[in-house]
Amino acid sequence: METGPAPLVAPPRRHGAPAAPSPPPRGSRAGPVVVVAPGPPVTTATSAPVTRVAPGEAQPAWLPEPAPSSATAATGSTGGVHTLEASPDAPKTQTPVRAAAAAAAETETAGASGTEPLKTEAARTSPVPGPGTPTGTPTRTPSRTAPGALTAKPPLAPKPGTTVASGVTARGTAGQVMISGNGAARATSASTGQALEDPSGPVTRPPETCEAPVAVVTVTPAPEPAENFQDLGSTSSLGPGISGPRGQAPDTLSYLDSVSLMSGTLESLADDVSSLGSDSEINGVVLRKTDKYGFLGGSQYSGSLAKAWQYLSNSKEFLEQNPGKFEELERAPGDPKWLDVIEKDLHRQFPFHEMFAARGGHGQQDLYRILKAYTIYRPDEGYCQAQAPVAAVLLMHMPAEQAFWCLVQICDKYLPGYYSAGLEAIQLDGEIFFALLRRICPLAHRHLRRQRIDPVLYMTEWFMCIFARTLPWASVLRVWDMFFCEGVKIIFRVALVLLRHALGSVEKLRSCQGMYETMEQLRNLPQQCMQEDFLVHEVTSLPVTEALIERENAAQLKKWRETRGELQYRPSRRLHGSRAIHEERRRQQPPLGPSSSLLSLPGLKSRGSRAAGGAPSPPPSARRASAGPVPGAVVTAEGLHPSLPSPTGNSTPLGSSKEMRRQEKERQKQEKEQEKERQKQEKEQEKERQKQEKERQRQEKERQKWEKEQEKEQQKQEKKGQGRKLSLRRKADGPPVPQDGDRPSATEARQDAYF
Amino acid sequence: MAETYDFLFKFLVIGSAGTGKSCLLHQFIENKFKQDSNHTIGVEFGSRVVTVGGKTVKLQIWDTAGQERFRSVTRSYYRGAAGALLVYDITSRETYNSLAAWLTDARTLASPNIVVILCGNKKDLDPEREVTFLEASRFAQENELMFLETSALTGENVEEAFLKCARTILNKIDSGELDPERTGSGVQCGDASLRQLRQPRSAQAVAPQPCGC
Repeated sequence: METGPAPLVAPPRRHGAPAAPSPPPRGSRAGPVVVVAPGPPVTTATSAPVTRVAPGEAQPAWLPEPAPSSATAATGSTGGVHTLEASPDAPKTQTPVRAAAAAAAETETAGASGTEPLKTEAARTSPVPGPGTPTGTPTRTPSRTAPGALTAKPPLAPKPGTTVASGVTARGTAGQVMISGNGAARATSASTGQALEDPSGPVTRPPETCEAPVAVVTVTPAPEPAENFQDLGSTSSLGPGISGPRGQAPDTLSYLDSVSLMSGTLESLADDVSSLGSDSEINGVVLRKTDKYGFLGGSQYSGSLAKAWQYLSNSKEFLEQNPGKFEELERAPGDPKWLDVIEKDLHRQFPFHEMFAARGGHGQQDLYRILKAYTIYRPDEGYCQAQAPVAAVLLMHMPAEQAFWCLVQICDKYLPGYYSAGLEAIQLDGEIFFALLRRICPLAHRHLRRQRIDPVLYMTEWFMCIFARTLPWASVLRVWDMFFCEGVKIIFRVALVLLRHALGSVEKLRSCQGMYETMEQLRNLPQQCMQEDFLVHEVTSLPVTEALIERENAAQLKKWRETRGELQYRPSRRLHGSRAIHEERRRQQPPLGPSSSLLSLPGLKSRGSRAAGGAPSPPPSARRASAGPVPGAVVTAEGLHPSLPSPTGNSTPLGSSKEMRRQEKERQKQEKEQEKERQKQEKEQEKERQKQEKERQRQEKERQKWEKEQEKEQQKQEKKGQGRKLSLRRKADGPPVPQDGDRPSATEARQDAYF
Repeated sequence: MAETYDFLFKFLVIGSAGTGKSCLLHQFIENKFKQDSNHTIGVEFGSRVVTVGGKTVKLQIWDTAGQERFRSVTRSYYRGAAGALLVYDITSRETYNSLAAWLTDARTLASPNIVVILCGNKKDLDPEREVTFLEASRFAQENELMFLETSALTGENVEEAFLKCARTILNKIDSGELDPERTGSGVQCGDASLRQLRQPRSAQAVAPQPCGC
């Protein structure tokens, strides 16, 4: 069973990657799709008209030039004009390709796919209508329907349910199947040239389209996170909030998936192989060809992934509420102390990724902008070299401004203090990690302790770069997905899994007699344990919970204070994942009220919806256009530029009528807002009350847990007296984590068996 | 050639960010210049067996991150190092200015007797030089360091730097200044079998305090 579905399962992740092997999805996925065919001037006939509307987010700054061969998506045979439009919030491009064009493209793709890679690339892009429009019909807006609409749609429907419940595997299979089904349907329709698939909808709704993708979050649920997911799930009901795992990606993604599933499993497999290594593993052989992740050549970031990360981290909101802030930071003169170091590092990030390969190229420029902006945004933190790889990974998936806010969220919320002077937070986490290792893999723990190998010796790079320089790329993306959803816990778990497999058996330890050998072993981790499927499975089944980490955190902090005194730097509280971030946000919302009203409508609205939903839901404002009379929207859609590029920019071709509509909308909006405001307040109060109650309950639980532990501790102590060996082993096991049930003990039993 | 060696030395490569520490290491281990490298976060390492003064010595080299804020983390690597390459960039005065701090770190955290060689790297970029040879050699003299200007790009003096450092350590062992048996000396003797074999011959005059090798 495992083998069979494997290819199927794989696709979900591929979301993240710019690319499913199959042509159509790829392009679409790649937000601002520009396929930059890495190769030599493949600038085939096609390169002509890729019109990029609205520079909004979708516009990848580097797009235009990056590829030596600006073989941008070419419509080749079709010759149709491709409009890649970036809607304000959605990097997803919606390409209103004429139906005919689409069809043609599709055929073309099919033909091309088998052939030479470069060509395929080109073909891929061209056919790709847009995220939502796999078929290429202008009308179809399947994916991007408004929240409510989402459910109605066939592809979307599956999502809510699945998301919440499914474990990794389940998700993979079930979700996939469904998707594939949809896909098939779609595909057929596409081939026939039928335009309308979208049952629910008004034929074209540009803006929302973009939103939909947002909803797709490819997160892998960990075992315990049930709560998280529920939460997320509930949000999704509000709108396309965060949905579950990739497999179920509702809208667009599902379409893409389906298409990709149908068209290219084999290819995808091949792709996987090619992408096995992260840049570090690629040795300088630069073929002018990229793998699907953009290494060694280059392709684009994937819109869906970007959306998911932005919503999960809530960086999206920061972006919306701080229009122009990034530019402002960019213009400010930076501290030369930081700028020097940043400049030195620019060419040292993923040198085998197309985006960053060229000195002074777009990737490096953007990297500079982001890193510099951060030093100005947080002058107290400045620049840490480990931020560069993180920023680079973000840049591979989203334009600079979005990436900046995402970085801010990572540094402030997910991993506060990691990059601050002194690196105390990372050292503290090292200690926490070591304590957790004692529970999870006593054998490795003992070995490392005997060799006097401090955790910081091996985990610094793992944690600070969130494994971006350690794991194969497919796994990196997967881990990042999980990380954005569930926070630092994922990093701990991945590290524990890696250690367990690197040093978890007696034979392995035998070859690591000294410190150096051990370090070497940790440097050259077994390939198998880093493979996406394996790793994710292990990670999700590891009984390391937030509560456990927090408890260890307290214990180690105490120890730290006893031995080293107070922490020099006190970072803000670490938030465990998306849910915590959004909860905090909600708590802080009131004070932000007034300022937001000054901001663009999108911000306001999104706030409202979020407050109501509690989870990140796309700002309704994005759906602005659609909010208007449906017929109007349809009309617009028939134009060449159905989607609205950015909330602020005036992208609409139909000027006057739009104007009127807008005014009207404006009025409606205001009314709605007032109402919402009222509702929100009420809801917030209620929530506040509920939260407090929950908090109380939790605290009580914690106390109980603690007491239990104490008891166990005592028992242990008693047992210790009975026999040394016995006690040693017991100790290694550590007090079982309450939530984990007997899992840990099972693991440990296995470990012990090695003796 | 299985791991047979007479001694094993632990080396450090330290210095400010962007001075070419990793490239020096790479050049020494692989004999080529690493064109596209990541910057070091935490630590990198490598080892190579060399022959110095008739002895085979395995060098275990730990290459550390250069940015100031990583110092608190990289300190863990210093323990038990016998030698160190202290690297600065001849085209950057700033990296030269921070040498004293690095040196203090090495002497306090590794061992006061650690053998340090100062390396002015990027010798190939002579036109952009900001630190003169004279100036640096004076600094070296004052602080009892050896000194070389190196180029990780061309490979010039790279091997020499490591070998020179190793030779000095060997001499210290021979002169009894450094006791390999002492833990934390950064020196280990070769494997036990080798030691046994050599036992009879170990009367060598060279080593007043033979480690048994």
